[in-house]
Amino acid sequence: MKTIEVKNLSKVYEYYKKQPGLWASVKGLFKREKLFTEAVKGINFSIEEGELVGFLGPNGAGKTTTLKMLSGILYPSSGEATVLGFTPHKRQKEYQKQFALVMGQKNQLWWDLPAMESFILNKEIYEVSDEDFKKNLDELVGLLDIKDILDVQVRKLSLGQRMKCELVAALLHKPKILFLDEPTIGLDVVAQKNIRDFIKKYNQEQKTTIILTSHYMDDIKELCKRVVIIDHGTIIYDGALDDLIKKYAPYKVLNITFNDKGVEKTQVEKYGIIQKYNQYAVSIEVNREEVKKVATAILSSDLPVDDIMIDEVDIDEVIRKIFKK
Amino acid sequence: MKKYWTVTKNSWQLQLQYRLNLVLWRLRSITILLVFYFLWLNLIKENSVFAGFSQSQIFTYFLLINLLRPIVFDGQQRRMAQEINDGSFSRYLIMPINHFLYEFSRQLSNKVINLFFAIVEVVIFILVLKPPLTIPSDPQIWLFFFLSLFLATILYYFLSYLFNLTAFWSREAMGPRFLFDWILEFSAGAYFPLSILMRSFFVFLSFLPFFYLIYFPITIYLSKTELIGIQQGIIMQLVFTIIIGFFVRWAYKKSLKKYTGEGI
Repeated sequence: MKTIEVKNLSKVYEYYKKQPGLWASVKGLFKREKLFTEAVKGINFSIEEGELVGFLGPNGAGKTTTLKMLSGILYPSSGEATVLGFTPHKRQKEYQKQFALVMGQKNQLWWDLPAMESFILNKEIYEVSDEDFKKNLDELVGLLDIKDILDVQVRKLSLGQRMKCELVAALLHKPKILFLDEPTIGLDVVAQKNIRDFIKKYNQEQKTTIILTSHYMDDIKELCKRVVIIDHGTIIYDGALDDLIKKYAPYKVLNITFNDKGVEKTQVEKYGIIQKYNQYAVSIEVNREEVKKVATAILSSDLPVDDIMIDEVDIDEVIRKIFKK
Repeated sequence: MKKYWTVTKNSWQLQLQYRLNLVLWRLRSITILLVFYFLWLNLIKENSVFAGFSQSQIFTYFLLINLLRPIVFDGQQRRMAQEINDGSFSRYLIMPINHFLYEFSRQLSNKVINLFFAIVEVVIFILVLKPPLTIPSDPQIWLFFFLSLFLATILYYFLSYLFNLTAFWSREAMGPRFLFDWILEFSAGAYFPLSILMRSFFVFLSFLPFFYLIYFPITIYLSKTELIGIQQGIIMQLVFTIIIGFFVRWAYKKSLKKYTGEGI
């Protein structure tokens, strides 16, 4: 069943041109040039119930704007979005009770109060019964291991602890849809992993539909089978993460190590495109169809091969290449 | 309504966290009260009348300003405009709440705390300085006074909310808001009785909604307005509230279409 459907969705922001300098600012008091920027350009996609989809894209690509439109914060300039059968920008309470948005860069808890106060407020706002509140809270607090910090003022928490509390606040009403906008931003590797593990487990257990934006490829690799890549407001890829590699990297990498005196570069150039070279270790890009044949040829040659490995291209590398284009 | 009550309770906790802020805010009120007391003590002698006010009426006027300010006005009136400008307003747009009530619930906590301290200050002031005061004996006056005070509170909230909506249209809502607050308090009679002003200017002010925020309820209390004047004034309060309420609704819908949620 399709939970999210987006058709020709666009968003145009208007702003005023600001020339540098004081004199330009004075002139701007009388005359300003209005400019427009198309943050999202007629995108189309749909998401099935329970899917965990990664939104990838460089800064300013349109990821957050898309999430803002799906959560009803922004009116689209054109096109339409339907989530759980609702039109988000109508901001119907029945819809708002069924989704949550967590923004890694924005605090949604009451900064000067313990997180527990925000949880209690959310309980009332989302009209969660006492029984469900207790059950959900215990479950989430246990999963995220934050029992000891519930009564500490939010501003005194570490970024990782705060993000865990943000997740609890967002999930207390058991939303069917969860929008996660860079939930691991700024966290250390351990905290990132904790949050990732939690999202994975929560998605598997609750079958919540999740859209995740992140700059960290580890988040995407570990959590998402499907990715949507946005660049300059346009979707340039929508499909399985594995297929992305096949589409944008039609080659594999042969990592070979040599012993004895090693090899000269000219001796290995004929096998493919050299990615890395030193006398004892070489990485060669080889077409997927030919990789086995080439590996066999290298092993049968008189080169002093110590070890040979056929590796998939690193996803980070693929994404970097896509954005460079 | 329980959700809005929880907002008020959380806001109370928040204010009690900032004790210094609260103390300084009250210190400001006490200073204004004392300055006005000694100023008017010299300006208006016993048994004399100034701009239609006797000494006891003028002292009562200033004590009532101290009590009515926290009820009608809001000490954190610029917070909403700030939230719109920095994008944190987005959080209210995704929650199943009515922001108009949510914001009022936050202001309610502010009003109750400040009113509590204002009452304590006024009681101490009366006990220590023993100024001559006017206390109405007619229950009808008390009834009209509280009714006009209630309407003034609602009217101010509508006006304040409407003005905060300008933040959706301009990144520079703080400057105009500061000016608006100053004009509003001046025109409301929150600095001195408006009858001091030139007659034509006074009449002009009586056609503005601000006139009905502080000056009008106090003149009811001081029995300086005839019954017909009270009825007309209350009708004016109702009419302004309905008109401004309509504009708030219209402007809010328009503004949300303009909102970009910058900063997130």
